[in-house]
Amino acid sequence: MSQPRYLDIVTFDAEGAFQTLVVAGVKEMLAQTPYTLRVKALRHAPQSRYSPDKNVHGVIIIANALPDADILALQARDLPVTLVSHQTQLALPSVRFNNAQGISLLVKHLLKDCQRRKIVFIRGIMAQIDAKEREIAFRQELMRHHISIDEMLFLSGEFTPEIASESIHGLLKANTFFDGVLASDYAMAGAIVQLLQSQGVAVPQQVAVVGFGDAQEAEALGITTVSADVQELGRRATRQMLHQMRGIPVYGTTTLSVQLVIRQTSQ
Amino acid sequence: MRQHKATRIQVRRHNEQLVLRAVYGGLATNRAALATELNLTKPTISDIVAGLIEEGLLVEEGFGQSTESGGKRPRLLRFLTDSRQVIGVSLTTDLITCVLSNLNGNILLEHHTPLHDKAPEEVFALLVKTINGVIAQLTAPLQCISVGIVATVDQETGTVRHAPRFGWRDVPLAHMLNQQFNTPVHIANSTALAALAQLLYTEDELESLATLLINNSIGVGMAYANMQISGNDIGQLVLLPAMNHTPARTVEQLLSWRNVKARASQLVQEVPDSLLNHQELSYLYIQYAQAQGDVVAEKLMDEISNHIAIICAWLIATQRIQRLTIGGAIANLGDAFLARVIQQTRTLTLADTVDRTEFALNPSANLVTIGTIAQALQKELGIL
Repeated sequence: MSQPRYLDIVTFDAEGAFQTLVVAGVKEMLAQTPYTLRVKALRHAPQSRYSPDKNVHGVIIIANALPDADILALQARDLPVTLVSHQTQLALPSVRFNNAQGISLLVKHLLKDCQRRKIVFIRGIMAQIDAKEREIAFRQELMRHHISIDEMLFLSGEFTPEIASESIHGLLKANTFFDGVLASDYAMAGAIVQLLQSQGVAVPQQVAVVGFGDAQEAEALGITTVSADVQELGRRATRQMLHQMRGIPVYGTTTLSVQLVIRQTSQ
Repeated sequence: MRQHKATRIQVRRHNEQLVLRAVYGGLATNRAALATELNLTKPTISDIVAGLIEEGLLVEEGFGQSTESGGKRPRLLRFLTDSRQVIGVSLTTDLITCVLSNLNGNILLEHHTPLHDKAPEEVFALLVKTINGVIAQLTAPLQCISVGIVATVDQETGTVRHAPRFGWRDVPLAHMLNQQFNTPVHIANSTALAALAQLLYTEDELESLATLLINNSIGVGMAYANMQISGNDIGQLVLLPAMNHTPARTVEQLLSWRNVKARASQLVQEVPDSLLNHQELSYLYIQYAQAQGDVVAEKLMDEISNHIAIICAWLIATQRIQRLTIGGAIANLGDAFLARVIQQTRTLTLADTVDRTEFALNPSANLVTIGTIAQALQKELGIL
């Protein structure tokens, strides 16, 4: 009987919306291959290290789930590795969204279509590359459009709706004027819309709210976003991995475009 | 230009390109109309169309209207823009950037590898591995690979005559990549392709366009409406001659990003509370600081625009240019910078000639890769 052939996905949290969609994309691509997918979630066992068995033929790592030292150990075993939304100094093939393009679309929409001038930026988890790139891009877009950068309008969010809500609540309590919010993900944007409305702030009339990334929840809440097909991210990462598992050396980062989707929170 | 007697294969290929171009552009979308439009016989057209349908580039779809004299309604032809994909590659000293495109020039994804601190002998191997990364993402057969490189290029043979930054001399790059990937490969100078991209993908109909592309390397490219392009790296040209114990300064020494940053550091030492005393210096930030009234940013912008004006003056004085663009990251210095360049250029050559030239900035980071796709579509299918 032939040995099983596994492709492992290593993630911190397998139940997050982002991770679930990446896994779905990988699963879809593996359907016609001899590889079986396994998902290793480290959240519930943070002290244990990922150690692949001999039946693993490739590893996809999502969003900094493994430190560089562990990734190097995988490479030392000649295991192909592909990264998804992961920042590292290691020269490894990876797949990411075009964060700069997405932020540029959102800022331009707020400034030109919605005529906003005081835009709050809600940060993600700053240890993650997506969060860093989105903030850098936001600052660059403000400069490009000659808008002064006010550090008081850069707030913590940590990709956690409750934290994002709390941050905006603090701004409201301090009577700080703002007329737009750009959140680093749609989930935080959704929580902010609910918070603002509960405080009697009209969205979008008084404050326009936009977020990065799209999903059915964002559509249901009417949030303007840039659509980032996360399942496609999983598919593209799998294509890269399948190529590597055939012994073809691959280098570089694949960047996927996003599209602006205008909905009620900014119209 | 050397001329060869056309072979039958070359004639057929030429006619295929004419047919594809006519169908793609909507000029003629059935066999009879193609024969009339292209002045080819109906049997020739039928034969070519049959071949293109078999290749998967054309498909029959629906019926057109009968002619006034009646008769069968013609079968309509459609160009299948997703039947093949093209890989465009930009190779600079810092970065290998690839794009994957369909035959309509729609970019499906980007892929890049940094080249910092890589030895020249590592560059080709990295180029192959980076292109492998794009090939992994193909969802249709590969039509060709098109490369823009910061180098002197013999476009006819696909040979890189001189790429000083990679230590390459007479490298048959097109042949090497063709051997590696078993697909046609087209090579041209980066700035020439950047000029082509801007000439083709603009709403205005331009006869000629020159572009000055400034990143860590500096190049000049020219493109004409007849699709002729030329370009080269001008980094080694002396812009300011030696004078009064000051050594000569080349274009690269004055305008490459690493040297602009070094100059900013120098100026900031005299004005420590300058906004440019900032870790993440960028052209955008220089523009932002200048708009805030920062004196160092103002001086830096003046110096840069003066240097660029010298190059612009030479270009305008020696070439017939309808539009002159400044591209690359430096274009993020914005309209205040462009105004200074134009003003200074007017003092260096005939003001009338400058005034007849359109100036523009193009900060797009994708000019070269878009140009590679345009080159590919033109050379392979003749559809642009």
